Amino acid sequence: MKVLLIVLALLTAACHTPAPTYSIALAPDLSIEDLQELRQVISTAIDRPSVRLNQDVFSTSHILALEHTVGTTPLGRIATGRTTTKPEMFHLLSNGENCVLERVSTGQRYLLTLSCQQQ
Amino acid sequence: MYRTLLLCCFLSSVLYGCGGGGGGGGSPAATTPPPTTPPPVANSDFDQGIFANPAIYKDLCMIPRLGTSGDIQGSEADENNWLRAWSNDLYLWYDEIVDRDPELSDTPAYFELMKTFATTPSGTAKDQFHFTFETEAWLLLSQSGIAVSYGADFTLISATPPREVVVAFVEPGSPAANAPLARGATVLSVDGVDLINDSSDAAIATLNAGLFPTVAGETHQFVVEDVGGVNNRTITLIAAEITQDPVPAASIFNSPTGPVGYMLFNSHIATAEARLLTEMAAFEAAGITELVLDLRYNGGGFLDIANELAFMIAGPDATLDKVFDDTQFNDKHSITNPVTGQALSPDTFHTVAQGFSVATNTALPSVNLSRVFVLAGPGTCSASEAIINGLRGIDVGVVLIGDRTCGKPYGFFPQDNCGTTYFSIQFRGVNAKGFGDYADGFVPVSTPTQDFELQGCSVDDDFTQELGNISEARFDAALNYISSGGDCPPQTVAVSSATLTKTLSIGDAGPGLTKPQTMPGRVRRR
Repeated sequence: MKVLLIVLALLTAACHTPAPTYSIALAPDLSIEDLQELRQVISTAIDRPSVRLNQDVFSTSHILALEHTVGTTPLGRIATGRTTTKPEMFHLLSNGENCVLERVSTGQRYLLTLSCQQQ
Repeated sequence: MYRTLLLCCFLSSVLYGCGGGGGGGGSPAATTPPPTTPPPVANSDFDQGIFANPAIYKDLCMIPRLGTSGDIQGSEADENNWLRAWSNDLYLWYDEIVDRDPELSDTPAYFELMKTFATTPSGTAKDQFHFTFETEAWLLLSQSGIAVSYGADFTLISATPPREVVVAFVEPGSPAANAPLARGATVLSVDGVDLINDSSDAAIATLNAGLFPTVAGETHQFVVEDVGGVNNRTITLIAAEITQDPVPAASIFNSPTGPVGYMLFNSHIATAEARLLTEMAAFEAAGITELVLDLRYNGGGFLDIANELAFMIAGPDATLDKVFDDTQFNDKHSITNPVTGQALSPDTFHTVAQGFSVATNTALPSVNLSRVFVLAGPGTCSASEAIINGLRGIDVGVVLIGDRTCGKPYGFFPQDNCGTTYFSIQFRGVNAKGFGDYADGFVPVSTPTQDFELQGCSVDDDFTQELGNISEARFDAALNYISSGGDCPPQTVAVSSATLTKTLSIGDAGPGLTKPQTMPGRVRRR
């Protein structure tokens, strides 16, 4: 009976174990497939046909900012030279098991299959 | 069509480098400025002076985009009516637009009429920032700082044959740096075409294609002459996706009056936040007593980053509850931002990072200076000028070394309609003193008499020295100013951008080099 009670207590405790929380992460060794996954997830999230990412994205920072590829006026000035709004931004997060990409403007998170390192 | 138009106007669109993250990809789609003489208003039955809500005409398209939600079959007149109503609502100088019948022009031409044709006191066009992009190209996004380029910025010294194109800056570790190519090198030919003299259409096309690659892997041959070089040499440049370092140089110079910080700041892109924090923290730790901020090639970007840097320069005491920049729309919108719907309120100085590339709310370092030396020129624009203006607004001294800045206290919220994204000046920024009248740029003078004139020295760009070298003319002038208590070097008479008016004169120069909508690696007008 005592054993049964102990087992019951352990099971109950397990049911109430909080899920690991997400914190910032890095992904220093992205493969070509990983990069393609990121492009796909981001493109879908922001409803754009494609985004340009470098191999070093998320290698030293969990923050990704996306900016307009084209950008100069006919007279050579930056079209976005006085931008008062924030760029589209994503954060790489991990809970130690899973990696997610969080769109900062909406808070929506997208589960990734690539590996990343919780910081 | 864009390139064809520009081929007819030699160097009429010599372009300043783009400071924002960007690169190849996306068709060049920005339109050229129209002739400045507006056509006469035709007799028509449109209700002159009566404007509808732009929402009535929004997305009514002559050619609706297939698969694009929102586009509805309309007409060219509908698109023009939208431009008319939208401009009347949001254009900063809406009351200076001559109201014209929307049925009398095609849409591109009509848009070019939806602006002021007034001039600044210097005689240049008041509105030099009225253009469009194909929406499809505008929507392309890149990781901040990534661009297809060789990693070299080119500056145009001479707009007419014999042309002179000089390397202004080379991104460390880039294909250009590895070529090797260095600041000050003169480009003599590209892919066998004489850059100096050849003005044929075919030559121009070859030069443009070679100078401004759009695809990673593009290979082009350059014949260059190095600074002080006697012989020419041929190099092969291969374009790549390169990462721009927005703060590529920072150093501390031990002067007799104390440590002087130098920082080359080339672009207000998102990744600049982290770089600025790092370098300014080092300056703070070193206890610098003066700062030389090199903004000569910084065309702007995020205003928040300019705000953060201004705080880091002036420090918390000088900036507490003070206004860095106040956005002003036309008199129809004094309470609410008509685009975002948010209440209008001045932007005070940021004391913490805004999260562009470091964690939000990270404390900003500060060097608590009462004055800053800014190395500037025509490439110093927008957010860079906001740093100057914002600091002056709280009585932080700004000593300007170099040349007149570009003169852009204006901004816009780009708007798509029917596949074209329109940029029409909608707001301007003023500082804590309410000043924002620098449409002709900030000018370095020995004795300021106008609000846009700053104490400083007129010094030509020095391509014989690397940026950040204490022998480079502008940096040297700043150090000499510090040590002498305000002396300037003798003014040079050789080619000076101070003698060049804004681009109006370039249009007369004949066919020439143009720059696609990419950056870095751009032909600049010196």
